Amino acid sequence: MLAAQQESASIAPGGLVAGPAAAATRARFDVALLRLPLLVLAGVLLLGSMLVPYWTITLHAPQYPKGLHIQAHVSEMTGDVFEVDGLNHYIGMMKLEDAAVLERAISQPAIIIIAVLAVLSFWLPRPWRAVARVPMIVYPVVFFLDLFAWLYYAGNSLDPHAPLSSSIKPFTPHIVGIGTIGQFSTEAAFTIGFYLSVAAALVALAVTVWDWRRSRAT
Amino acid sequence: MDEKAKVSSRFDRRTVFKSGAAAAVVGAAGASLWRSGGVARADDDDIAKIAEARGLTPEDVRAALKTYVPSGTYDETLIFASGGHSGQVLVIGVPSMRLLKQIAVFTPEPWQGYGFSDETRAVLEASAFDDKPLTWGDTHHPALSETNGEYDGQFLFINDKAHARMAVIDLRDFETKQIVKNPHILSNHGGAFATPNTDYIIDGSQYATPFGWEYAPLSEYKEKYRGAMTLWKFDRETGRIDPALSFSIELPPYWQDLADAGKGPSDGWMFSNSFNTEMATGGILEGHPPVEAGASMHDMDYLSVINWRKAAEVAAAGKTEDIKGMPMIRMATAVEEGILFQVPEPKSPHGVDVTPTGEYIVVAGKLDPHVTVYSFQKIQDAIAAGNFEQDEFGVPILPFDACVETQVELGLGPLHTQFDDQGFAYTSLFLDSAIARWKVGGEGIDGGWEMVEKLPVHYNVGHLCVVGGDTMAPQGKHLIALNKWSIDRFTPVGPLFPQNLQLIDISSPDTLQLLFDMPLGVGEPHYAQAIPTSKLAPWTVYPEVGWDPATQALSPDAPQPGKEGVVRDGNKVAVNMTSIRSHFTPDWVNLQLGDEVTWRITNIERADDATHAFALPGQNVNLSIEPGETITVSFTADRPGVYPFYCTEFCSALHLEMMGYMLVSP
Repeated sequence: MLAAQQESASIAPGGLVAGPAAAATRARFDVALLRLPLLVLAGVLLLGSMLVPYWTITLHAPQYPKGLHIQAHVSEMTGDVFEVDGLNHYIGMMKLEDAAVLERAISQPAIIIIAVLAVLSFWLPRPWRAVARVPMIVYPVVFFLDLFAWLYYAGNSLDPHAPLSSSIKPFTPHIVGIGTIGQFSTEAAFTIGFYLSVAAALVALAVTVWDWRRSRAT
Repeated sequence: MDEKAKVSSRFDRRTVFKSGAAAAVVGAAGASLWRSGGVARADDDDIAKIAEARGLTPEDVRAALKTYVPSGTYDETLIFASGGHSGQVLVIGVPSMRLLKQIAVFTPEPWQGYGFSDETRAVLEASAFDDKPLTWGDTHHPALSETNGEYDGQFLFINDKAHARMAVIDLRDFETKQIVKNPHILSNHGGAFATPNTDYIIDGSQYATPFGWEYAPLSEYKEKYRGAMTLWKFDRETGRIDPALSFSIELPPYWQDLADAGKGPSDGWMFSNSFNTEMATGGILEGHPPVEAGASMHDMDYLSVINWRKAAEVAAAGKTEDIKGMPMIRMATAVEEGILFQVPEPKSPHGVDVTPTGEYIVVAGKLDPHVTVYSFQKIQDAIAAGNFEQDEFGVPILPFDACVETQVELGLGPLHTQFDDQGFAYTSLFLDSAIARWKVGGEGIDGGWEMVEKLPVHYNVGHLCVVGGDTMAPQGKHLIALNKWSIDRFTPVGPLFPQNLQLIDISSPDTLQLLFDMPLGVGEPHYAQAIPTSKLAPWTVYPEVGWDPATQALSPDAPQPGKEGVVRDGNKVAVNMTSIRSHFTPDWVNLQLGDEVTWRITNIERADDATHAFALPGQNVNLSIEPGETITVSFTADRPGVYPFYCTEFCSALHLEMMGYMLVSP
């Protein structure tokens, strides 16, 4: 493969001419011009993440051959919520709709503010630039910790009066990977929404780091 | 050579056994399994040994391979068979011949809660004989709804011969929605048959009686007794027969037998065999011959040929007489309007079946070894020629020779005919206990109107059924023979024997192969219709929580979660209950003696198969509440006491705990 690429590069018409010319253009190009498009890209990625699920859990059991699927979006749970709630009542687990009520209520305006702040940071004076991007950079970490906290809470505050309370010990559902509860095996994973938010955070972080290095250089 | 091919060739080389033929069959099967990649370890030695140990012949193994439907996979075809005097409909998978369901129709059925809820009781009570409720029926002929002469998988209709009733089953939930009692006639047989777009459901009388269930002595048979052909108007939108737009046509007091709707060129017409043109009524002790002899004396009976489309116009124009609330086109009007004709047919025939192209009408002889094939075009020409003879009731009789295309000799006791997509017809031979395969003829067909092959069946075959075998597009590779007697085919289970439904492979143009015997110990199927499962799309749960299957809509009265409770208004008490694994809400219901109770339950489950049932002792109540369904039962609390109610459907691990107390205080 490598050899073929080299070969084709060497016989490409005009290759020898175009190479140095392109290098010259790059040298003149001010990378600083990319900061605004990158911040806008990060904002779009984060806003786009609101449209798709962040996290999914699938429950497998013999009597559910198609599995039961729950998707967590920033503002709602979708999928077999009713059925999973129905099953959870046997072990005394809270209803899904009672979890993260505040977070789901404020998530959409919060995400819009985070995205707008990150873009506005372009026009802010130096010390405030980084501050305005911090929410975007830490957002996926906060989401992760919040989800973990709710999973911990749900699994460790089971209703002692539930039908199966004596046979199920408190537990923390796995946030990723495979777990077991009763006859169910669970399979949890982060999904596209979460990864979009991580991408937004990385872009914002890259711009900030680049800003920081440039400020040290001047 | 890839891995599979290598194994396959090794397999073939090793296929040399003592029981050579069986091994060859098994080997071929094994090889094809390899080719399809279905099984990783097909050990030909083992398979041959199993066949040998069980004493299976190559034919047996071949049949087993053609019918076995592996665990967890579905049948390709469903048949809807009448349940005879069980009053129900049976749903059977083909080729596995597994009984999937018994649909309650004319007879209360506790598992489905049919006849126990207010809604299903209303279906049965609407078809009462005046005010006498009927709790059984004699189902004979199921008819799937059709669009352009092909099954559309939406509805199923079935008659009750004993009381001249017609039922409508909705194939979204496989439940009976409506039963109508024919106000004119008392017994039927020529139904149900659907017209090619299910505009009408045909319902022909069997035994002649005075109209409207009135009295007249047998001595006034010719004057007062009549046959009739009822056309029930079906409204696809509401999924109901509309009696207000239905009507009957008066016929002579011959006994109408089976019927069929025309299609293609013969669309708009229908055909009904009659017998007993002798008008015998028995009278054994009075010195008359029994009906079996008295009704078999004439050499010819009549095929009734009816222009139903024109009859519908005549009925719409009001040229009718009202009998018990439904219009009747009198015989004289029918003759005058050119609606009714008769064509002679060999005596006491049974089935009349229109060929898929709609060009020919096949009448099976019963007491004559032939099927008689009539040409629709020739019948039309004879009608156009005019100058008819008439029977003693003034009904025109077309000349036999002018209408007959041909006769095909098949054997003894031909009863019913179905068709396939290879140009063959299949006729059941009751006395021969056989299925005759014969070639349909017509323009441009070589060797038509000839018997091809006869296959013995066991025993006394009545109806037979090919997938789509009575439609414009038969597509079956299977035929089911519905045998009346099983004699020695099954392990004895007492003097009442199961029926025997036999599955026959008709896919080869060269030979018919008997594949499987299905014993059926729940009712006596007459006719069945077979439809590819791909044409059916039944619900697995009701579309919304609070669904009323009686209206196929969300019920405004359905109890909903969070709104459960017991509401009292004087001595009228409404119980609004929900069910979910594993509790009823509310589970305490306090009543007072004499309370009139309306008890509604919604099953708020959304999971497939999460059905709950509701048994209330002392009130003769058992309901089936499928996911999403809402159901009502009303009763009077007429005895003080404590009544534990509970879920009768094993719904969950805590099913036994799914109960509650109804307390009736003195």
